[in-house]
Amino acid sequence: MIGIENRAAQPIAVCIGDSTAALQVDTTIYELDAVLRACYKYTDRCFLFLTREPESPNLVNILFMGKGQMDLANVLGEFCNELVDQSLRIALSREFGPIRELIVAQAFSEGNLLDSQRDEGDYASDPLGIGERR
Amino acid sequence: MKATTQAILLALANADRGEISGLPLWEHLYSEESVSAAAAAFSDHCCVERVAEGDETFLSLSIHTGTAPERRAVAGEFLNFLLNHTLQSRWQKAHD
Repeated sequence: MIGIENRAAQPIAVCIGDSTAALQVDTTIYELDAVLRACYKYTDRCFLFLTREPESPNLVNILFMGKGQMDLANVLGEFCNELVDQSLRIALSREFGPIRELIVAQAFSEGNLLDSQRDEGDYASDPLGIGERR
Repeated sequence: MKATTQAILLALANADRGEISGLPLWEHLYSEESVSAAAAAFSDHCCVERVAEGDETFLSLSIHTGTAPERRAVAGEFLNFLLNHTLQSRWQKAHD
């Protein structure tokens, strides 16, 4: 087999009884920050504990204990969607974060951050060359 | 599912009895400071022990008061407190 790698479908979930479950997440697919953000969001619904397999450092195990009566299988499914959501948020923040910061900075500044000449120049000096013959 | 996960699932299955022992602690994530803060916050409800064995560190919890659901809730709230403290410290460091 050339160029094809057999990998188990991710994430892998195991439920023990009605109230305890484990989910194994590959951090080469969902980065650790996305996993941690998703866990933080779920602390109001479940009790969570994270571990890492010593021999597989890319795999993070998330242990869930339900708070009261709940369908843990359903919660695990929703958690997987949350992983996708958080991964996308991180990717978008990485891509558009600098633009967002510039828009916020511009909104609170008096001058033009991109082109200071545009607001501060006068017609006599004509910094943009508007009066030049074309 | 690997051996570590099975060990933790079995440990958590005993949460109703108020005894959780041998939880492998991911030290890269859960700092000693966070474990100490969680242990101090829950000192009225449970006894926390942190044991180093070779390269690994394990966490044990003993909860002696309350009914089975209450003991389970205390153990769970301890784990969530530990996680929240850890994440807030981590994100605080990232912003500094």
